[in-house]
Amino acid sequence: MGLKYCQKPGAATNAVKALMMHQGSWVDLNLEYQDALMFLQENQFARQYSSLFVKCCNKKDVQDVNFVANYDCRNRIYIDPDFDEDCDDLVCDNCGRYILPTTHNKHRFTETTVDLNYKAITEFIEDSMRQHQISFHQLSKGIYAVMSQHGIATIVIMDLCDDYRYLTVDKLKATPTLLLNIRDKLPKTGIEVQRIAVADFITMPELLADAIIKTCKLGVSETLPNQSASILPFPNFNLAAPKQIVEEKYLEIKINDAGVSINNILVIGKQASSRLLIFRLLLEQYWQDFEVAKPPEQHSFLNMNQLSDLMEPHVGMINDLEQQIRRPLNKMQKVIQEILAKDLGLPVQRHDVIETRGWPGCNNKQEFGYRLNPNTLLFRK
Amino acid sequence: MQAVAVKNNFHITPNRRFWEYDLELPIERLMTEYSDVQSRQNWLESLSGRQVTILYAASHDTHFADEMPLAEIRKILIEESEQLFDYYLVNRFNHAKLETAVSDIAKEILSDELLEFCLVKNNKYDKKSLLFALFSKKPDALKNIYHYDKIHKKGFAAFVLMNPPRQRELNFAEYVLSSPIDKILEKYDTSLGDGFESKLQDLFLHNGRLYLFVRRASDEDVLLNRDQLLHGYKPEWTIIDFAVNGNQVNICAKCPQKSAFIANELIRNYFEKDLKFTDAADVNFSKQVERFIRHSASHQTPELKLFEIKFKSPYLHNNTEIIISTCPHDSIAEDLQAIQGAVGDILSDIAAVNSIKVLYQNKRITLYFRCLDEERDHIRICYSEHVLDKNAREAFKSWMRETYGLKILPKARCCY
Repeated sequence: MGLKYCQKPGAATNAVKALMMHQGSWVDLNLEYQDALMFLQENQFARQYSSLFVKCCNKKDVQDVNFVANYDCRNRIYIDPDFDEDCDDLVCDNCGRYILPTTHNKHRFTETTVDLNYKAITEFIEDSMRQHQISFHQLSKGIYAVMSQHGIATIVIMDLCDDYRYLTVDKLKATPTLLLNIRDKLPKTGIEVQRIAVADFITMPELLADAIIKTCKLGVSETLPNQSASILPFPNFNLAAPKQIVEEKYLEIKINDAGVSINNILVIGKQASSRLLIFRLLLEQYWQDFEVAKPPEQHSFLNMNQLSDLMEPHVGMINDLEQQIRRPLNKMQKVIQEILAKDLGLPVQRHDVIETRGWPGCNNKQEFGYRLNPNTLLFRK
Repeated sequence: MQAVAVKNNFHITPNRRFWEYDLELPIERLMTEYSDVQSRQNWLESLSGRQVTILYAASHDTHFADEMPLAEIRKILIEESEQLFDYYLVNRFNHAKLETAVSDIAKEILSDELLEFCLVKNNKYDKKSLLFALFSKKPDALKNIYHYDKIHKKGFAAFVLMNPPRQRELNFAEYVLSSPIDKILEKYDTSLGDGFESKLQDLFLHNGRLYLFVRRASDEDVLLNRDQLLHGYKPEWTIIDFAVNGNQVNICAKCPQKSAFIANELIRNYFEKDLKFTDAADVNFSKQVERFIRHSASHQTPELKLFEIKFKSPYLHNNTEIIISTCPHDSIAEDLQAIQGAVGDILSDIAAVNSIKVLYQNKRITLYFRCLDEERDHIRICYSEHVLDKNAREAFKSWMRETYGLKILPKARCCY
């Protein structure tokens, strides 16, 4: 821990607190804030990202002011640290003016974004409790049951908590609770709940132990008179289930009585019998290649004649390859692409499901062929 | 090269009209500046070693790789500075020209050895050195650069030829290069009926595109020159950027629909059929747009970061619009989540989103969304293309198409 911050608790803690609590970016950090940021980085609590920018119209850039196109243009134009006027261009993307930052000696601002390392902060909180002989048990993400010699309490880290049931008035009135916030601002509550910001005790961990003991001593919270009972900023969270991270699905192909579906969207209906048949034949070929573990680039293409031979036992004589095979195939590719874009917004390309070889620029019809795309489709045994 | 002697003993090559009329440089003022010996010396001393070497080689017709101490080269150049007024003009011409415009043209003319000598970093070249070398080898290349630079900086409206006929044996580009465009411009002027005359300033083929640059007088204006007031007209540029087969064209003009006249005439004459360019009408499905905005709001792609969103909410009256703006490096998703209770899920009705701003290759691009039907299912997306150069525009368009399946159009398209 940086001793400097224990020696100058007031000013340094304020800088640490500001850096931790402020959501946005910082411009041209002063020395005190730079020290505070170094402290956070040394302890792995935060990472910083810096970028340089110039302001399109900055009255302090005396040599540049005469070249300004729009005096109201306060646009920030980001600039690489190794910017070289001989070969690099700098154009304001707002007013379109060409800028010479070196020739006109424009001030370069440093924008710093502080990205908190929540994992390291959580470990710090747990270590602090261990050091002060406070037993704890993690109930769920960001929620701890703690026990001191003065009683038991619940700690809720607001930034990490995803189970809002612990923040209901019923729960708060039943268990002494201490709310911790790292970056999130604590909401106004209609109930008197103990609270402390992590930034307040990050330089003096003993403050956390004091806050826990105080919470245990005070016991359950009491409702404040004439206050709303809602603790959450907005009342529309589903308290029954914690929020879940939605994962994007891969394409899932299903074949059943209704036809062929991708991600539960029907793309080939059972009434389109020739399309369905062609799809099944391509699938059979795919399966044969898959079973013998052919690498994707060696999966076979079926040309029109091969498809025709395979189709004939099912539909009889194929008289017109163009009408009976190529058209349904082209239609199928187009429909799959359109339906998935329209219903799911997926950027599926024409050849992502059914791949075509030999187009464009191929004149030998024998070289044309179709297959289920082994590079984008994944089948599992 | 033909040299013309002028006052102050400065030589102007190839001629005064080239600099004043074609490249629009204020030659009189620059001549006065250059008359001052100290200014000349300051200029030559401000040039880098690479620039001085190329300048010496270009002005003395020697090879740039000839070994000679830099100090000596600089000394000789200062002594002969009176003869270098042309290069001072080149130096002034360099101002505000994009590197990509200069290097793209230079790559076609200069030797690989010279290009390598001018390479500074990451495929970026020293503009001034390239221009000195280009002027010495082919002065007209500066005209191409002057015009090509505009391609990178201006916005274009996209047009396509509906049902294009089979290509003729003579390539469209070759046809245009040899066709009498002046007659078409005369017809164009007659159709506008304002008495101004269009001049074809440049016409060249570059990287599979054919470019036409037309200048004509437009709005009335006055200029102050010491104690004189000059009355005149502003120059208005029409830039036509054809695909070599003529099936597609991008037009940059005050009114692209009117200027499409020139493109239509050329294509009609080429195919000898009554053909016409129509607006490119690429549309997207709303689900695709929604997926794109959600994805970019959560910063899931390092290439593109959404940092501003302008939208309407059914919770508000009077068509009020709300703008949420963050620093490009901060996630906007948390803010959208935070205000959900107050304004609902903005992205559930994509028609309510007016525009967004994204950071792509360190450039802030605005994307505008326009709903095209009552079902709100088809959406046209236009982007502020002027912030990207020509190469970056193509890269951005194909990246959007490959990553999100979205077809985007230049912003100029939205103007009518």
